[in-house]
Amino acid sequence: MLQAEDPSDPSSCSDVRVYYHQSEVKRKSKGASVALPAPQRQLLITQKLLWAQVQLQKASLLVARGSENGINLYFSAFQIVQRAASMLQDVLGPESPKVAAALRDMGQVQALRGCFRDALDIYKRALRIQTRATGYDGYAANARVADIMHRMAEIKIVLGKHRWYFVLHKSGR
Amino acid sequence: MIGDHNDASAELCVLERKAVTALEARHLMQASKFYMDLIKKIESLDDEASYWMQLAKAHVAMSRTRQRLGSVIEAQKWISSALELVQTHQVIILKSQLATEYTIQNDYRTGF
Repeated sequence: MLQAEDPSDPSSCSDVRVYYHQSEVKRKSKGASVALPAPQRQLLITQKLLWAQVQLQKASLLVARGSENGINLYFSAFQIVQRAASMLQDVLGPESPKVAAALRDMGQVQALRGCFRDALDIYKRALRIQTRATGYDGYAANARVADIMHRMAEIKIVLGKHRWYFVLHKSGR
Repeated sequence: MIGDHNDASAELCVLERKAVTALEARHLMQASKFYMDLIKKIESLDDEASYWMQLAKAHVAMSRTRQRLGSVIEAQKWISSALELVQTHQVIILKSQLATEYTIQNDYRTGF
């Protein structure tokens, strides 16, 4: 069973993250570091992607639970998504559509926490990456762009910008 | 031995493809069944440890599918087991990675 992590407690970090952190610190402290052999590097990248995938799903489940025993789980979810997004950014670069998807999840959590302006900024970043990566052509690209725009429109309306209703209507949800 | 390994990999690929196709077509129950078959298949292999990443991915996919089917509790169980798999194997691999880095640096220093 998943447990909500206490954000103020550093010991709540998972072992994996601590190991990652230690290995990154060691690598950075070496300056011009020694490159790992290619197969090991590839394996490490695959594992980092898998780790991010697990974390994103974990956050999604925390969002689905919302709150439990009076504890709001959104903040934990936000921290988890943030870590996963930064991991994806490190591995795939800042312009990857997977980073856009993680940012979209992060924006959703921020909106659920009531941080609408922050959520809007995050969605803007996600939209920029998504449109740069896939453009507006193709069903999949359109669906992803429409999804982000729909979420942005919902927030704009909450913030009192009612002319965004047309985006809600156009995104077809 | 290598032939057996390739056969198993091919079978796993087919099962994974079937599951992904079902998921894309939004046949969630079917996708869930295929993922279950995939997980059972991996667990039945002799060299299960070499397929741990595929197993972890299948657990994550199973968790997503179960969540979409509305069973959050079950989804949590699957993601917990995925997390356990990742933690167990990654810690071992990262330790070996650090050891390799150390060896490379040592070789560099000593001129080998």
